[in-house]
Amino acid sequence: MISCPCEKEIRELVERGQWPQASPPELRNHAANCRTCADLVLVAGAFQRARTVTVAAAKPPSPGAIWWRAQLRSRQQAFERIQRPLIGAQVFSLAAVLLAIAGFIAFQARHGLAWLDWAGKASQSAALHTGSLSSANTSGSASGLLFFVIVAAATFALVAGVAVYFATERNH
Amino acid sequence: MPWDFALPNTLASEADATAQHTAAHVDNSAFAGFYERSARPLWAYLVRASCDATLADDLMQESYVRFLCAQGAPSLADDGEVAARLYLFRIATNLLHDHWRRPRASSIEELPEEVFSADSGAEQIEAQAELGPALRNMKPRERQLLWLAHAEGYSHREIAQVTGLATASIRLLLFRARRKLARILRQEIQPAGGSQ
Repeated sequence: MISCPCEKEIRELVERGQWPQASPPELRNHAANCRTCADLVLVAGAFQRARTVTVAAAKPPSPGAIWWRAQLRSRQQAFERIQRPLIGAQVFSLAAVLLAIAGFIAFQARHGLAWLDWAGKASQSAALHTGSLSSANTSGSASGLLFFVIVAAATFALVAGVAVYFATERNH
Repeated sequence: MPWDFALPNTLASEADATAQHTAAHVDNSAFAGFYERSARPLWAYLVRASCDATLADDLMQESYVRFLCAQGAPSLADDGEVAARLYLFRIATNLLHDHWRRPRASSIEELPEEVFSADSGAEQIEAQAELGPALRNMKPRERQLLWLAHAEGYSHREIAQVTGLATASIRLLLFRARRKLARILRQEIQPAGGSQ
């Protein structure tokens, strides 16, 4: 790479549109003999002319339209930022519900699947049309337990979700 | 579960507040002035670097939208218009690079330069004839560097800020690109001069 000490001066003159009129004769002679400066004059001159024409050809939309689009985009981004903890809370509550269901199944499996026993008895009694007091009692206690577990799991999920939402919200 | 239906007003008001905060580095009237002064040069840069007027329209609008939405953008009041303009050109440059990186059926290099399609005057045709074919033989990076240096008059340091390249590399790349373009322009001029 060959740099020339006259490069800066010539570049400034070309950019101001004063080349070659305002340049001293010795600088013009130098540019005619120096390849770096000759390239500079040729290229910078072409770009200056191209810029004038291209800038004049531009038809930009109104700044108001751009501003409005930016406001919409900002609002959308802000909305997404605010929704992020909500999505986290939803995921957490779903995980909590799944965990509760898994726990319930594990509990039932350990205690002999009483509800399956009850279900079998209930279907049997329905098929035979015999109302026995003992099976009704079993059915009542099993469905009560199931209802209690579901309500507890749902409450836990809801409270956990809201707690996570407020916790992450404070961080933002 | 769509929680935003349960809390629509809260979310909307918070979103509004945050949106106002994100565009806080520039107010509407200051932006209008800045836009009037910078939109045409930015479009010219994009159209000459991409050789595609439609793409330049899209990228110019996207650049301003991103500039307004960016939280780290320089403030027109505090940092000045020069810094804001450099930041804007940097956004536009990154958008151009993203566009070129995207896979497509035809290369950007193969696209014709239809910049001045309908209402091209004699001067426009002359300028296009002078620089258009020559620029098509240049790489996109070379077109960018040459435009920023010789049309926008940016220093090597400023070009480095816009393109993300090292200042030392700019000097060398610019020198090579200028030499290449000068050779192409001379080749174009010589046959025309020889035929007269």
